[in-house]
Amino acid sequence: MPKIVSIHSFRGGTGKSNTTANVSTLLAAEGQRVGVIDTDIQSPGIHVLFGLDEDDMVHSLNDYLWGKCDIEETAHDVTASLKADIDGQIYLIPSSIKAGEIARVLREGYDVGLLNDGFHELIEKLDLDMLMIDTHPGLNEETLLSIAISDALIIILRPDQQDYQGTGVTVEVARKLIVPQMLLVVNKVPTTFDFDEVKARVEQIYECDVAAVLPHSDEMMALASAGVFVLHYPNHQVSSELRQVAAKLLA
Amino acid sequence: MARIVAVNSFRLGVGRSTIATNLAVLLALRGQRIGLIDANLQAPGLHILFGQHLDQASYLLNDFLQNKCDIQQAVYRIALADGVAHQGLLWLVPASPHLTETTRMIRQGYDLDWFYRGLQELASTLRLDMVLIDTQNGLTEETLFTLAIADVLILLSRTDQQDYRGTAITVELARKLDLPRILLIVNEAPGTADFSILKTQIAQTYHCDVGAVLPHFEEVMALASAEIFVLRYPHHPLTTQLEQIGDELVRS
Amino acid sequence: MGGLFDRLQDEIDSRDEPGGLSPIDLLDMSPALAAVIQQIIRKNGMRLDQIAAALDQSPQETQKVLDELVKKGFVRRIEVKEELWYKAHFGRKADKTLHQSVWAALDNVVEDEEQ
Repeated sequence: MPKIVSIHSFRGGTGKSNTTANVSTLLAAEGQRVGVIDTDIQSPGIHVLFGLDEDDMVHSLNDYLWGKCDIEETAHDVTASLKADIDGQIYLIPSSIKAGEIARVLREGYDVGLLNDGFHELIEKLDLDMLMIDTHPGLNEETLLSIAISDALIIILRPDQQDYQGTGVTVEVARKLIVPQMLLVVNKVPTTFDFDEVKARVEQIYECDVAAVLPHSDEMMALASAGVFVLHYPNHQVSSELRQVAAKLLA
Repeated sequence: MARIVAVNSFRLGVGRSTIATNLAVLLALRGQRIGLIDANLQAPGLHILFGQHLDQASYLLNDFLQNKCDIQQAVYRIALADGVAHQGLLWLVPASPHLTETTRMIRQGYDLDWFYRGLQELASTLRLDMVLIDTQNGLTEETLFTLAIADVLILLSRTDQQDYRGTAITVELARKLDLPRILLIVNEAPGTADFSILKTQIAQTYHCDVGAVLPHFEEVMALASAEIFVLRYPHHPLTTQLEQIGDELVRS
Repeated sequence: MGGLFDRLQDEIDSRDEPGGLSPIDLLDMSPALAAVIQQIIRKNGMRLDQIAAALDQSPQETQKVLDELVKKGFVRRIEVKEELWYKAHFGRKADKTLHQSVWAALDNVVEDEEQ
């Protein structure tokens, strides 16, 4: 059964796109056919992690939403670009990075129903096992839609007061929308913090499973969105924690 | 009229609220009369940073925007550290973090003219030197309006590839709106980078002044938005750099 | 390209219809309505019998809820191969008004890009 997974954070800078790219890669490494769709139309970015730039983008999600093409025409097979031995497949559906197109979205809006149709068509046409929806941070119509249709929701937060508050709101929303599986990932934890304590506290606050507690990593910062971490540092603590997330999605 | 300083970033999580708050506090500590507005109505956060300074806040910016109160009722004076020679004053206009209010803002937005009038009234009643507006991120209708009325734009960016494009668009747009002064701040720069080279590169990329390159500091992360950084660490290098930005703002 | 034109027609049709569901509406709907509409959104269209089965309800109960959702403009009835299906009808993401100077500035940005 294909699974729709939304990856969300209330605030930005939590490392959501990085986590999406890494977990997707780990799933593909397990032989899964994974679609990754960047619904952050206002500030797209996950394409960078897969080495896709403006010239490589044949069609974007924007083209589909404006009726210029079918959704499957926006899917870019990025598996080869990972330059790793991967059994599965990763298809990236990017959002446009052209200033004019971003401005156009602001001005004209788009049909939310079309977006929903697109999700389902992608799964069918590309025979996907998993559709990973990288959402815009915070609550808005797109994130609410993706949460509403998701089989699993991954919420990423940092151990920060502002993140805690925002995550509370997101968990409240997810419970209202009855998402079957909810996983928390606590990211960018200072090494001075007690990780077991962070995990226990977060699980207690939200009454929700914490799938991974990720330390703040200098390597991650240095990589600065240039690549997929788990491929560069497969034995790092961060990579093994992320494997736990992938495992929970496959369970 | 007080100068309007918009604090914006294209993406989220760049440290906008933290920088806006700490700048406002530093400006107040050097004798300026500062209004700080949480205009990030879809996801407000300034009240968290000021948590310990705010008593029972009853009216909020949302109430003013819905015409349920005057702007003066939604403003809270923030008590700063004692023993400072020329103590200015800081007033905060917080926004509501509750789901019903934030979804209302997502759905309906708010009356921008009304918002602007509120700012003008506040500035005149409190005789403010500056109004710092913590905007929503990105180029939404509300932030575009704020750019249109601002005298100074403090634009924050990280060093992610993902930040560059959006920040460039914002600079371009701000120029077309004849925004008088744009100050770029690069935040969370990795410790491994050469800052002077980075500063030059970024100034060239954006054809814009770079106010500061702020490195990542573990102490900021560890403080975890529970307190105001510059009050906790008054002699920290970050505090010094923010003071310099404050200098620029007061001078210009 | 058959699918594309069907979708365009769908979009044109939906533009003419007022209202429509916003995902935000999901948050303040009654549980009975929310349960039905979420099934429909999740499967991107379902028949009455499928919805009733998923929610373990009688078709009559489900029909009542569906009729209310149709009346609200949140759900549309579509005929697919002589069967009646129910699909969520989303409103277009709201156009918002902006000051003239700001639109003009945006237009200039778009023009520059296109040159």
